[in-house]
Amino acid sequence: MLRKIAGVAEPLIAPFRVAALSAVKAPVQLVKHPRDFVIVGRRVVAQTLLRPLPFYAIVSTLIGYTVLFVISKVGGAGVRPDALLRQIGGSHVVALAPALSALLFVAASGSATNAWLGSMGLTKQTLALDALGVDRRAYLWAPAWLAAALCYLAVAALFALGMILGGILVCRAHGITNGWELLTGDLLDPRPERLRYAVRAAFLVWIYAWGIASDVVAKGGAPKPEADSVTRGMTASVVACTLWVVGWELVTVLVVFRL
Amino acid sequence: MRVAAIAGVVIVALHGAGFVWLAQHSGGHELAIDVSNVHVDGGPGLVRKRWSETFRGGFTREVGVTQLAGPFQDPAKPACTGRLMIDQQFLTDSVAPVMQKMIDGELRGQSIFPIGDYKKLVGLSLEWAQAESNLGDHRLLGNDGAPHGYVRASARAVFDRVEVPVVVALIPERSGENMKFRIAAQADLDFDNRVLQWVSDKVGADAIATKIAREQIDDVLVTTFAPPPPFDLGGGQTLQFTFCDAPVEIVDNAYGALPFAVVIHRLDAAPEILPPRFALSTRTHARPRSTFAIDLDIDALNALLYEVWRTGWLDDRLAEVGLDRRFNSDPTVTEYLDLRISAVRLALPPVIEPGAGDMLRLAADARVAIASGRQTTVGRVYGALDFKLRMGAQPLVTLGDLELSCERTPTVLVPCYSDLVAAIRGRGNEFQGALTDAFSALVADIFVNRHLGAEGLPVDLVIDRADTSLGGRATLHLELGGKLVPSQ
Repeated sequence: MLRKIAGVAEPLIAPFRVAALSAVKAPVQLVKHPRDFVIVGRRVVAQTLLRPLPFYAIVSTLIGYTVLFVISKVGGAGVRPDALLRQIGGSHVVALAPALSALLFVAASGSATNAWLGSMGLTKQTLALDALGVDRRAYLWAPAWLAAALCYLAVAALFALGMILGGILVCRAHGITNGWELLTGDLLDPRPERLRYAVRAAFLVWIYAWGIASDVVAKGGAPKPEADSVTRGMTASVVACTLWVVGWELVTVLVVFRL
Repeated sequence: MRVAAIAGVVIVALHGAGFVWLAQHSGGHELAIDVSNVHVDGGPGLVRKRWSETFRGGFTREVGVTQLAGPFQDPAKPACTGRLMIDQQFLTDSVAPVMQKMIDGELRGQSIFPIGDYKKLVGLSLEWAQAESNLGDHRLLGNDGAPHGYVRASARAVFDRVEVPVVVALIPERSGENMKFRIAAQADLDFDNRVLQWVSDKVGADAIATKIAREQIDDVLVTTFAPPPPFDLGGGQTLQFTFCDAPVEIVDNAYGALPFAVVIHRLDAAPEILPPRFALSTRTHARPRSTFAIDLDIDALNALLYEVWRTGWLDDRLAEVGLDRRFNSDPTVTEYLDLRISAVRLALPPVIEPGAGDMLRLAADARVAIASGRQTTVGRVYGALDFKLRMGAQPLVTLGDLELSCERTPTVLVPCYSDLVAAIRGRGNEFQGALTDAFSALVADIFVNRHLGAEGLPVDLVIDRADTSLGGRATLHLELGGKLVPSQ
C-alpha cells in the first residue's frame, strides 16, 4: 500500500528532489568538471533557447502587437486609442509575459530537453553512466537543470522584448512617439502603484525558471522502460508545468490584490 | 533522497512566504510630504511649492502645497486701487442736455430787472478742464485754484434784453469720506450801455449763475463722479467701494478720473488672511473709448475676490455652478468611475497676478472630498485660469493649471488620481469656450444693466455694455457703455 502511495507521489516529489539536489550539485560540478558541465549545458541551451528562438521572437511580437491592438480598440467610438494605450503602458507585458513565455517554454523547450533526457534513459545511456561510476545527477541533471533554468530566464526576457516591439508598432500607428519608454516604463521604472506588479512578474519568472527546469529534468530523467514512457514523461511534464504556472499565477494574484 | 525532496518542498514554501513578504513591501516609494512645517518662499499672492517624481514613459507624480503670502492689504487704510474714468463725450452727450433741461426748468418764470424775463438756456457745455489751459478762469477759480482740474460749465441764459454768458467751475474736493464740488461761477454781463452795466452789477449776475449751479450741477456731477455703487452679494452682504486719498485726475477736454478703493473686512475666523498687496499699477493715460471706463489694479481685483470669498459668496456661486453635480452625474463618470466628489470649497481667497505677456492669472486653492468606493479622501485642488484680454475681442480664458494632492493625514500630502488629473489637464483646450463664456457672463452680471443714481435725482446712469481689456500688465481695464435714463 505504502509502495503504491509512494509510486503515485513520486512524480510529484521528484521535481522538488531534483531542485534541491541540482542546486547543491551544479556549483560543485561546475567547479570540478567544467568541461563536462559545458558539454551538457551547451546541448540544453541549443535545445531550449537557440533552436526555438525564432519561434519565441515571432510569437511574442505577434502577441505583443495583437494584445495592444485589441486593447486600443476596446474603448469603442469616442475613446482615443492613444489615451488607452498610455493608460495600459507596459502593464500587459508585465502581466502576460511570464505566463505565456513559461507555457511556450514548457511546450517547446521543456519537451525537447525532456525527450532528450528520456531517450538517454531509454537507450540505457544513463545506465552506462552509472556503470562508469559517473553520478548522473551531477553529470547530467545538474547542468541540464541550471541551463534550462537560465534559458527560461533568457526566453522570458526575450519574450517581453518581443511583446514590447510588437506594442511599439501599435503605438506608432496611433501617433505615440515614445512607445519604447511607455512600454518599458512598467518594467524598468514602474510608478509606485504598479511596482508590485513588476515585482510579481520578476518573482514568477524566477520561480517558473527553476520549477520548470526541475520538472523537466525530473520527468526526463525518470526511468524509461519503454518508448511510450518518453512521451508520457513529456506530456506529464507539460501538464505539471502548466499547473505550476497557473497555480503560481493565481496565488500571486491573490497575494498582490489581497483578496 | 527523502531529505532532498523535503528540502525542495521547503524551498518552494520559502519562496511562497518570501513572495508574500515581498508583495507587502513592494508598494513602491510613494511621494509623501509632511507640510506641517513647510514655508513657501515668494509672494505676494498664492505661492506654491511642488515636489515631484517623474517615471519612465512620461508619468509624473506631484504634490504641492499652496500658501497665501504677503505683504497684505490693510483694511484700515484702503489703498487707491481703482479708477473710474468718465469721458468728455459723456459730459457732452449725456450730462449737458440733462443739466440744461434741469436749469431751464429752474429759471423758467424768472424775471430780472432790467434784463427782462428769462427765455431759455442755450449752449450749455461741460468739459473737463485744467486751469493752465483756461487762463481766463484764473479769477473764477480763486486763490485755491484747481490743482487737479475741474469741470467747466458754460452756457448762455437768454433774457428778454440780453444773453447772459455764465461760466461755472466745479472743482472736485474731498470732504471727509465723500467727494464734493467747490463751485465758482461768474456771469459776464457786458453792456455797451453804462447804465445797464451798473444795474447788472447791482443785480449780481454772478449770484444768479452760482445759485443755478449750486442747485443742480454739482448734484448731477457728484452722482456721475462717484465710486461704483455697492454690489449686492445677497444675504445683506455687499461689495463696497469708497473714496480714497489720491486726487482726481482730469485731462483737458478728454476725461476725468476718480480714484477709489475697495472696502475690505477681516475674516473673524482667520483675521490673518487678507488680500495680497502687489502695489502694481499699470494704468494708462489713454482717453477711454467708451463713455465710462473702470481701471482695476490687481490689488483691487484681489480685494474684490477676497471679499466675495470672505462672505462665502464665491463658494455659493461655485456650488450653484455645481461642479460636483456635473462631475458626479456625467454619464462617463457614472459608467466608468467609482469616483465621486463633494462641492468645491475655497480654502484661501483666489488671487490674480500678472501672467506671462498680456495675460492675467487667477489662481485658487480649494478643498474637495473625493470618494472612491468606501474610501473618502480630502483633496487639495490648485487651479489657475489664464485670461487673455484684448480690446475689441472676446476675452480668452484658458485652464492654466490644475493640480491635485490628497491628504493622507491633514498634514501629509500624497499624489492621487494623477493620471485622471493629467487627462483633465490635457483636455484644457476643450474647456476654453465654456470658461470664456462664464467669464463674459460674470462681467456682464456685475456691470451691465446696473443703475447708478442718487436719491432725489431725476436721472439714473445705466451701464449697458462692458468690455474688458488689459491696461498694462497689472490693471484690468473695463470700458463701460452708459446712458442716462429717467430715475426709477
